[in-house]
Parts: sequence; C-alpha cells; structure tokens
Amino acid sequence: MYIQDFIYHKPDSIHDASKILEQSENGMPLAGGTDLLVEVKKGIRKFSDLVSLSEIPELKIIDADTQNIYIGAGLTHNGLVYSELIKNKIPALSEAASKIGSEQVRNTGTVGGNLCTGASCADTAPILMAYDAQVELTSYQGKRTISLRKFIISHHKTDIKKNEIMTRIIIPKQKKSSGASFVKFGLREASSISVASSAVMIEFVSGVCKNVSIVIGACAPTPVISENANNLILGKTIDELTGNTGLIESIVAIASNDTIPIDDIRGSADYRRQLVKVLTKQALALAIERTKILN
Amino acid sequence: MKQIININVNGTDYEVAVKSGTTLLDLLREELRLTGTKKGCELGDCGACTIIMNGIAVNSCIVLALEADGKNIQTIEGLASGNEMHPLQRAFVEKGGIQCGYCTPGMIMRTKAFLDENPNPNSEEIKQAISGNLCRCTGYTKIVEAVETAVEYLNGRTPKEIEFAPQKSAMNLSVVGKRLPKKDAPDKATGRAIYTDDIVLPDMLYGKLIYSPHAHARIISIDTSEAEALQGVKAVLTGKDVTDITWGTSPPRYDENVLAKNKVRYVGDVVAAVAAVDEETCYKALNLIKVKYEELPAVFDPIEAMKDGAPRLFDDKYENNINTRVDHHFGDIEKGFAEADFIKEATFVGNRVYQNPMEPHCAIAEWDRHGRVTLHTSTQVVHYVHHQLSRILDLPLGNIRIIMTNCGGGFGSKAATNYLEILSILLAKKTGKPVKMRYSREEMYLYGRGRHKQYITLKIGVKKDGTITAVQQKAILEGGAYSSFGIVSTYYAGSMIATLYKFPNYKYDGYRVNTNLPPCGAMRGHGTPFPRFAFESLLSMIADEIGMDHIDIRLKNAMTPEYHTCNDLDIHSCEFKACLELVRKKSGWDMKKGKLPKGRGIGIGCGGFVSGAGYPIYRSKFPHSNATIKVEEDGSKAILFVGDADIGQGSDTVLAQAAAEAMGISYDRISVISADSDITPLGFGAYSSRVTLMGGNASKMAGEEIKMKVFSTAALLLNSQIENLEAKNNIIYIKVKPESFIPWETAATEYFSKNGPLIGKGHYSPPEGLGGNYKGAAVGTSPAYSFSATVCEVEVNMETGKVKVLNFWDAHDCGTAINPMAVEGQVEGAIVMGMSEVLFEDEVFDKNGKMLNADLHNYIIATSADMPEIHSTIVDSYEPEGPFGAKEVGEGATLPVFGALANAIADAIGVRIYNLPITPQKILDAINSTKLKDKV
Repeated sequence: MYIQDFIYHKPDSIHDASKILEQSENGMPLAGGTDLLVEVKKGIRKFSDLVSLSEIPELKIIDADTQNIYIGAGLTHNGLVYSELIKNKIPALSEAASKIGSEQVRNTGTVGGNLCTGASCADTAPILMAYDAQVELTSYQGKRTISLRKFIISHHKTDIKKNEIMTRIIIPKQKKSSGASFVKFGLREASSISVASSAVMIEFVSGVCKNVSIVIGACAPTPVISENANNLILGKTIDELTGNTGLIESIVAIASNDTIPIDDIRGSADYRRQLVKVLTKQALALAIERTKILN
Repeated sequence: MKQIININVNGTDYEVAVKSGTTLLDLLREELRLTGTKKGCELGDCGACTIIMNGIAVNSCIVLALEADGKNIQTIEGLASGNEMHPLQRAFVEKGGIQCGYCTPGMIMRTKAFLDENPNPNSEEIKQAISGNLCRCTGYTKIVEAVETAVEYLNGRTPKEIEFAPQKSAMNLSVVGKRLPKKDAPDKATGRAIYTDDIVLPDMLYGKLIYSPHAHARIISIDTSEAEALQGVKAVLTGKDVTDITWGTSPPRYDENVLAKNKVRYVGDVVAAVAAVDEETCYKALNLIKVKYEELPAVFDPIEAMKDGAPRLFDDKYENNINTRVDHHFGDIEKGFAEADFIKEATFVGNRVYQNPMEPHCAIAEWDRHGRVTLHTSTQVVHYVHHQLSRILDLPLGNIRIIMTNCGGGFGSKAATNYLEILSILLAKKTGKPVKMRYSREEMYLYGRGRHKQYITLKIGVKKDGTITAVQQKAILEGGAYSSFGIVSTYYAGSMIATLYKFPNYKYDGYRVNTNLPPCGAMRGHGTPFPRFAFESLLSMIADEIGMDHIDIRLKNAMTPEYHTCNDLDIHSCEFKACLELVRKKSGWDMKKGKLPKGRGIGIGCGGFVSGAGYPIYRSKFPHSNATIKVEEDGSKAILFVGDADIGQGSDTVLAQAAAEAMGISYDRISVISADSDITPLGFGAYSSRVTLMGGNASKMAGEEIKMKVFSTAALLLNSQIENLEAKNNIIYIKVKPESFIPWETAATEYFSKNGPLIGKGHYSPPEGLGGNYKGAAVGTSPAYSFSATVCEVEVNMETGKVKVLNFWDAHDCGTAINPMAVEGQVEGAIVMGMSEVLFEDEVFDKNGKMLNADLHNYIIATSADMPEIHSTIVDSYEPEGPFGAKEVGEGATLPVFGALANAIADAIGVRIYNLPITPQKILDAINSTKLKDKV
C-alpha cells in the first residue's frame, strides 16, 4: 500500500485554500483524513493536489449567538464529544459523534469531513438533518449557506463545488420543550459502522407536537427524512406519543416504510427495515423524555 | 519530491525530508527507524500504529507525515526512562497483558493518552477506551487487568495480589506451576522486540506479487517487458521462470506452483513477482505487467462443486473436485442406532473465518557468496519451512537458514510455508540482493489458510438414560483452491469427535472439496471446532427432548482416564468430569438453567484437543522436539536452545520453566534462544498444541542431563553420592541433610573447569505405534489429550437480535499448568476469539469470487468492548506423558466455546440457529419465524 505523490498545500486561510483548489487539476481538501487517506490507499480516490485544512484556525471554533450554534467544520468528532457547549445544548450530536469509529478515529476525523464524504452510513448527518442544520460553504468568492438536507445528494455525492470548503455547521438553537436523540445499531460494541440509525428532533408547545423530524441513517443513499412519520406525529400530545395505543407502532412502521435500504454484508434490506422500527421507537421515546428535562 | 518537516519525537527534534504520500507511521518506522510502532492494517482499523500526537492518540497509518510538521510525537520508545519501564509497561508485563506483542505498543500508547485524561477509570471505561486497539491473543482480559494495575501504580498504590492456589501436582515445584511473566514481555512492552518487518538489511530490495483477478482462468500470455523497463525494477518472475516442483503442506497433496503455470484457480492466485528498490516501484511495476486470461467457469459452493459436470479446478486429479475423501466406520453403526431409544439428526454449517494475527506475514531473504540463503520470517514452523524450501530449491537443509524473528501471532495462518518465503528467496537469488516481502492485510486474506467452511450432518442415538449408542457424521469441507492442510483437517473433523464422550459405534464420511476461493487450512482447533459445535448443539437438543439436564447427559457419557476410543485413540489422564462439575457449580447452573427470563440464556459446551500430533506432517523419524542447554562457565546462567517457536503463546517461557525446574535453578537464571535453524536443534514448531508437552519434555530432559553433570562434581565437593543429591533454587544439597549444600554455580564452574563445556541435550518423540491400522489413523493420535467445559451466559435483545455475552465459566484439564498465567491467557484469548467467530466473523465473496470484506473494517472481530466476564479455572490433573504432568491448552480452549455460546443463545431465544455466524439478523429471523408459527 502506498500513497502516490501529490502536491501538498497547507494554506492558512480559506481564501487561499479555495484558490488552490480552483486552480489545481484535481485538488482535494484534507480534513482529518480518516476517510480520504483510506480511500486513496485502497486506490478508490486519486488527486493531484492535497489542500490541508489543518492550519486554518477558524475551522475549529465553536460559537453561539441567540439564534444558532456554529460548529467549525474542522472540529474533530471528539471535539464535539468533549465540548461542554455541545454536550449541554445539543447532546444528541455529541452522542452521535461519540459512536463514530474508534477513539483514535474520533481524535482525527472531523465533522465537516464526515459530511463531505457523504457516506450513507455517516453518523453525524442524520442528527444534524433532524436539527435542520445549515452548512456554510466558503470559497474565495464568498459564502453560501444551504440546508444540510439539500447538501447531501446521494451516497458519496454532495453539493460542494470544486473551490468550496465547508466552513461551519449552523444549528438552530433548540426551542424550549424540544428534545432530540440519536440511536444507532452496529454489529459490535465499538468501532462499528451503522447498520441503521435513527435521529429524532421533536418540539412541543403546550404539550402538543408542533415540530418533529425523524431522520433514518444507513437505509438509503442519503439519510431519509420520514415526512410521513413526521406528519403522523404533528399535532399529537405527549401522552398520545408515550401511551400504549399502537400509535408508536404505526409511526415507526411508516418511518421504516419511507426508507429504501439495500442488502449488504452488514444486513439485509428487510432486517434494516425491522431495525428502523426498533431504533426509531427508542429514539422517539428518548427525544420526548428529553423535552421534559428541558422544561 | 520531498519536503522538509520538523517534528519532535520522544523529546528529540528531527528535521527530516519526506515524500508527500509518506504516512507518519512510515516516517517513524522507515525514516527514523523507530520500529516499536507497528503496522497491522494500514487503514486505521486495528490501532497497532497508535501514537500520541500533541497529547492525543491517533492512528499514525492514516496521518500524513506532512501533517505532523511542528507536532510533538510520543511513541512506545519514549515511554520508559532509560531501562526503567513506565508503570504501564510494568503492569502489562506483570499481569500477562502481552502475548504476541504486536498490538502492545499501540495498546500501551492508547492507554497512556487515556490515563493522562482519566487517571481513575473504572473497568467499563477502560474497555471502551481501548476498543480501537484490536488484540487477537489475549481476549483483552489481562490487558484490562494490566491497565487497572497501572492505575494503582500511577496513583502510588500497591495493586492487590491475585489470590492463587497452586495445583496439587505443582505443590512441591519451585519454577513450574508459577505465574511468572513472559521472558519476552519487557522487550515487547518497550517496543524493542524485533519482528521481521522491523529488519532492514543494507542494499535491501522489496518484493511484491501480482494476483489473479479471475476466479478461474487460463493464462494465455504474460508480458513483463514494460515492468522490467521501469526504473527501479530489479527482477520480474513469472511461472516460466520457476521450478515445476509443486509444493504444499501435506505430502500427498503438493498441488501449488511457486507461480501460476498456465492456470489460475481463485481471485488471489499468485501470477508474478517483482523486486524493486521500494514497494511503490513494485506496485507501479505490477500495473505494467500485462496478463491475458481466458476465463473459465468457476465454482464456489462445495455442494455444487461435487456434482458431475461442475467446473474442475484440477484436470488431472480430484475427481468431482473432491480433494480428500474419508470413509471411517468403527464398531457397528446400524447395531448402535438399533439399540438407541432416541435418535436425532441435524445439519449445521460453519463459517469461513480467517485467523487474522495482528502481524502480517513478512519474509526477508539474503544469499551469501557460498550458495547459502538466510530467511527471516514470521512463522510458526521453522522446520517445515526449512524442509519445504529444501525441496523447492533443491538444496540440502544445511544450505538454508531459517530464523523466526518475533512472531506476531499465528493461530495456524503461519503454520506452513508461504509465497513470501519462497519468492523472496528466488528474487534475492536473481538480484543478488536481500529482498523483503510483506503482505498487506488484504493479501493475508487472499493467501488465506483460514478455517474451512463446513457442512455437517450429525446423527446421535441415545438410550433413555442418555447413554450414547451411535454417532454418525458427514462433513463437507469447503477447501478453496488448494490443499494446504486440508487433508489433515478432514481427518481431524472426524477423529476428534471420539475423544470427549464414550461411544462404541461411529461412522464418519468426510469430503474436502476444492472451490475457486482462497485456500483453507489449519486454524486454532484444526478441523474440529465445527464438528464439536455440531455435537455439543445436538447433544443439548437431545437432552431437552429426553428430559435430561445438559450437564447430566455429558457426565453420563464423559470420557474417563485410560480409555481406548472406538477409533483407536488412547486417552490417559482425563479430568473431564471434574471440569463439568466445576463449571456447573461456578456458573450457578442449577439455579439458572430453565429459570432465566426470555432473552436470557445459559448453555454448556465442551472440548478437548491433542497435546501435539502423534506423527509429523511428512514422514520422518526425527524426534519431534529437541533441546540443548549451554551453561555459562561461571554457572550464572543457562541458555536453552529450542527449535519450537514462541508465536506469542509463551512457549519460550514455559520451556524455560521446565528446564529450570529440571536443573534446579531459578527462573531468572535461564534465557531462551528459539526457532533459528542454524542455532537451535530441530523442533517441529507451534501447531497441534504440541510445544508444552513435546518441547517441554525435550527441555526437561536437557535440564536433567545438566543436573546430573553438576551433581557429578557436587557429589565430590559435598563428599556424597549423586543419587543422594537434590537441586532447587540454585542450591545443591544432600537430600537427607539439607544443611549440607553448595551453590549451584560452584558445582557448574567446577564441572566446566574439569570437563569443558557444560552442555545438556534432550529430545522427545511420541510413544511408538500410536493409533489404529486404518487409513488416516495417524490424525488424532497424541501422547495426551486435554479436556474442557465451558458455561456461557448471554442476553439477547429480542427486538434487534443482538447478543451480549455476559459470562464464560471455563474449566480446563491441561494437566499441570507450567505457567498458570499463560494458561489463563490462552483460555481468555480462545474464548474471545471463539465468541468473535460465532457472532461476527465471515468471509464474504461476490458472485465472481472476489472477497468483499478483506480488511478489518468490514471483516469484524471482537473488540474489548465486546468481551464478556471470563472466569477460568484449571482443574487438578497430572499427565504422566507430559513434562511435570503438563498437556495442552492453546487449541483445546477454543473448542467448547462454539457449542456453549450457541446453546446459550438457543436457550435465550427458544429457537436454534444452525448456521454460523449467529448474526443478529439470523436471530431476529428465527424469533420471527417462531412467532409466525405460534400464530398459525
């Protein structure tokens, strides 16, 4: 195994990084490298220029204002796991990050890298989509912000342009009486890839669900927002959603039905559909439980 | 083009030029020559390359050296201060946290970073923290204990001593029977231990292989001209350049070519070899070799392959692709089933699993100017490599030197000669330079030699009281493209069924079938684990149906000492019943069996294995193990030379203990040199769990010879007779008058002064005439057999099908445990490996025979986060044929795991799964199918 020669750049600004990417024949930004270097070693990816983002300080900042939380795309997964702000304000993201790969991978891999790789089994994407996060993409020409839900187009395909770098992930601050959760299923207890995952964000006003987002991971080319399940939940009360009426079973069945999983070495499509029901039930219950804590 | 970076490694500043694609791992290992950091998978999956960068643990294989510019790096070499080990290293050594040692540096560095952040972790936190560092030897148990001990040291506390009661047979011994740290552990803990890939010879070239992309094809032409023209390429070899002598493992089935001649038989068959100035140039050259193939129909399923008209792998042999056929009938099977009150038959399927030692295979060959070649290699069997190379190269043994450096685990994957060993020698010969060849993790899977997938139909007949009257087994082994160990595996699959329970009538039909997949070989428990899984499963099913307790039915039929089995195997020592009673008690079996809630289950499985094969792999009359001991002229140290290989299991340590006990000296006065064909006497190596008994006997005998020699001078010095003397703890004394003594070294010095070198030699051959007279009777024979019983408790998530293994209670009859800590290490390692095989592992191929999970990312093995609680016990036992009463543990410990876990899962979910691995998906399907049945 070896990595073919390339031209290495280590710019200290987004502006310069973007320029290099645009001018290079086949340039690639390097964040943590936990996906990229594996792919290049396996011969799946080739590039002429590698643009290291490691010396661009603004990519590693976590910030908040009254509206949003801003996460630098260059933060490592463990950067999210150990951030007090994230642990307190968006714990489900911290949990999702804590379930990615091994400690060593979490120490190196970044949230921006995870999103830009765009793997269908990525663990940060479902929860960030549930939060309806925006991603900020920056080039030397300027910035644009788009919904993560639109950014991820298909498996390993995103809406990033050649000269763009993902700079921030913008997460709307959670409303009072909202809760979120992320649950994944892997085949072993650590360093496992999601066979299926489920992320839920739910918000109640006066005990009635006003906003909900169920996002299923690893069961389609992109994380799937189950609009049908969301519609069934909207308008329901906490009691209805925690009661024993069969409503939950209907919701998770619909969520499962909204996925388009495949058979692969980790599990069959049919097994994934069953998992989605179990995971979504757990995730929904946990998210609702958390709304009570926030109240 | 190279760029300059500045990094600080272990406190030293380096200014070094690196290529853009150089990883931090390669910078450390190849440029800075800090080889303590290991290369296990190269893709960030195994953690062997873990180092600390600016305070955090990272996998250095997926960090670019250029990205480390300006950073502070800590590696294993920087942890000790001078010769003083860091408390973590000390704890790993003392607690038995190190076996093959290949994962150790990464494991220790990960733990270091973890404890720096969390100085007082609990055991759950430790298991989570090290879960990105894979270990295949230890089962993580002793590693977690080591970390807990290190925490005590680092907090200035004294760790709790382990309570340990010695076995009866070891009561009066002073070195044997002690929980002593392994001889090689300090070197492995500090990164000083040298593995083959750590060696760089001057002017050394690198070699790489090109593999068939087709499962079955005729080679039409090979054009190597462009590759040969590439700058830096020094040699290219194809089938036409190499001998026509075929090679393999078992003499009747030498069916592999050094490089493919005319035909390739699986994706991964070796077609050509290249030597160049570096690996990168090799890879570029491989891409320039143009091979034209004519694809042939291929077959991947053994049942299909046996049918008339199926594609044939070999035109001139193995009709219907049946590579080995065994037809054994002992007693009278029809009579046996006629006597049975209850008969049950079921079919079980084992999975295709790979050993995955953490160290990839590596070999370095160098020829001298006298026509002699030296090979450094990571092998379990120096002698068999020696023998095979002598055949292939047509050279006498004396012109070949095989040196096993440290071996980073084997489990059977390194128990025979491999392509790197042969081709590095041929490339070195052609170029006149040393050549290093190593496998990537993917190439390891392609070379294969893992466990055969097996289809087993088993029928057992019992009387009302559970007495077994007849056993019938049909096993079809999916063998892959070549024979490897397969002929032996097929015989073992039949023969070892008869050692655990008494039954007079037995029929075995074995078929090993070639398919267009990587060849299968010998993996821990060789051929036996799946038949044993089938047997233990079916026995428990029968117990349920006749209303008998699972342990009772085993006790009813359990083997007893001095028994001659129906297939002519002679059992001597046997404490199987004691094992069963012990695990029944320790697990709380009677309180739990049948009383656990749904989703929770308990199961029993049993096993046992040979303590070394009774006959060698090829016909020879050499003693199987041999030893010499040389004592320094001042008597201060004895050096034991043995040909057997320490592949991490701890045989150097165990043999040193046996020799030291025999000589009457203490453990610190003996060191070991092993597995170097020039220096050490012949030993057949580490396979068939043979080293403790056979190497132990040879080492003990050599020690006794030394003792007699020093007694001859001591008798004069003490004015006594040889027969009146005893030696212990470096003292020689008169038995009846212990106050009359002299130091051991005084007698040894005196001996040397009078007689010259103080040398002892020992050898061991199994008793003559082992086994019956039928074809294949040799396989399964052994001087002694081990026995074990294991109870497993699981919790199954009834909604997802996921299994959490809670506990294993194991009792093992290994005779006298020469080193109980090493025995526990084998048991714990076998349990976690077996559990991993049952729950997770499976090689998966696409419809064209290309492996889909040839890495450690998609072929998953158990992590520390998956490990159960393991409670292992060694029962009192004494084997007269073994050194100090010892017999095997390494493979026997694997055997009970499969059945115990499968039975526990069946108990938990109320339905049985017959196909391994038992994945959550299969469990959920099984649960759903019973729900469906209930509804109907």
